[in-house]
Amino acid sequence: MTSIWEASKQLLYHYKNTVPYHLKVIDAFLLYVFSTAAIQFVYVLFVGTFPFNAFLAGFFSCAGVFVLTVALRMQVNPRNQNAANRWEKVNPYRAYVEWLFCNLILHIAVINFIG
Amino acid sequence: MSGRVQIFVLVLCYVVVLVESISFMDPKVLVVVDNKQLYQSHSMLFSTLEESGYELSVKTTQDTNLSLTSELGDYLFSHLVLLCPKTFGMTTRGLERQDILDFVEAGGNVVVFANSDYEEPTSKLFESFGCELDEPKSLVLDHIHYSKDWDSQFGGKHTAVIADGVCQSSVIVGDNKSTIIYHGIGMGIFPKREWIFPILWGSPCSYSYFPDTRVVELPIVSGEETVMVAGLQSRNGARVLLTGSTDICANTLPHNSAFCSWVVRWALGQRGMLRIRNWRHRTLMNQSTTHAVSFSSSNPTTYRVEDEVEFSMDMEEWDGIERRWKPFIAKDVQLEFIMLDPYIRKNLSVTEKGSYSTRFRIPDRIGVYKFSVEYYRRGYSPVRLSQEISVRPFRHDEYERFILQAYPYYAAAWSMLLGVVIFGFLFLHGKMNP
Repeated sequence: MTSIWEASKQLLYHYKNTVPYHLKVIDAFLLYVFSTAAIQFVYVLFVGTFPFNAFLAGFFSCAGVFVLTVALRMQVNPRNQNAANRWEKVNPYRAYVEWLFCNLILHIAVINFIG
Repeated sequence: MSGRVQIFVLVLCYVVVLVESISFMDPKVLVVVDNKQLYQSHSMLFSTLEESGYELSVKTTQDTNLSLTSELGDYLFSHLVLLCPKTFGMTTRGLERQDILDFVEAGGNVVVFANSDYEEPTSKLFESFGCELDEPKSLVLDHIHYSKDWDSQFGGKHTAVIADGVCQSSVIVGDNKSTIIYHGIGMGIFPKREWIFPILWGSPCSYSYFPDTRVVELPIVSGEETVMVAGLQSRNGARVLLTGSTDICANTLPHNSAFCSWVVRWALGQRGMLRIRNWRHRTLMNQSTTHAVSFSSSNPTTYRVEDEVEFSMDMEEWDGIERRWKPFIAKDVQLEFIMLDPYIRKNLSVTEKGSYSTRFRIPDRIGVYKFSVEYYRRGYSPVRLSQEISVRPFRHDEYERFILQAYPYYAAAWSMLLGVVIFGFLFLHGKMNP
């Protein structure tokens, strides 16, 4: 038990010290997206699936934003900018614009589907 | 070319059908008797018929022109009374068994009397309606339920039987309470016949046999299976009344006259002929937001799933005495909404004016349905109604919007959109490397 406690303390310490600030911002945003999805999931268990299209749209908007943002995080992570990766020469601005464009398409679909 | 010929043949068939169908409202009756004495011995029955508006043409079987149809093939009569068990089919040229079956097929009503002197064509005729006569010279016997007053008149052999069972349908037998005395042949109804039914039958200890002999074989019919009067209501509305006794309606048995006139007039279509008029259906445009109910136009061919629908119709019964259609009121008329199986089956509620209606919600299942009313009751002519309609799904703009319990989802979607905008702005312009 103490070892798990120690390990998590170590993890938190190293996360604070080694992860760059912009990745921490992305992580905070991911946490927010994830919790929104979790709240909807709990809600649907209690209320039932009646406006099922609305539930799907709300839940998948969270899931989609989460996936897209994870992709963005992988591309702007400095540790991934090495020869072993596809993103060695990717411009972070290009990654950002792609993320923005994909979000646009995702939300067009979501608003259309939510009813 | 062949298409034109087909259309011509179709039109021709239609014309032929029009010519051949017989209206039961027509009061012309052909009465065929063995001889004039038989007519005179039943004069009470015939005068009752004439009083209630029937026009009788009486002919004996020796007459030459006995045909039911004119030379062009039109039926001259709509009802036929056969009081000729002895000579039917023997000397009746132009009035054979097949002519009578065609007549019933075309909608004509037939009353047939037999007695213990019948010849084979009469029993053949009974058989074609699903009914078997016992052998000639046999009679229905009952040593317990016989009429002591009338038995001596028929030879004292316990053949003036008191009929124990009477069909419970008041439209056929009326409100007759007096006992009915039967002297005649016993009949049996063939099994698995749906449209023929007994009207009068014997007590549990009656049987049919030759009166002067010892019983050495099993009687053809015995007990409550000893049918004395049988009725047949066919699907086209025609009626047939069969009885094994000419004496049952004779003047010599005045007890039976009320029963006789009721059943014979039933068979000649004076009561129990039904029709459906003025049926319609429509949606009730009931919006959940506004409570105003407005009606759409009548009898659309398409409905939407979950529409509220009102179906209504009028039912009428022919009153042969006043010679007009009167409202028919029954509490057991049902409407079915069928797509292979009935999805909805509801009793129609009825007003005093005989107009029936009900409301229901179209099931949440698209497809081709039909409205169907089928009313088959003993003694009433069968009524059927069916109309196909199709049920379509919601159009894309007919779904409900802004549902209360979906607000968390709307909020989540909008918060994702806002989150993306704010995060994107921060990611681009914020101080990412403090």
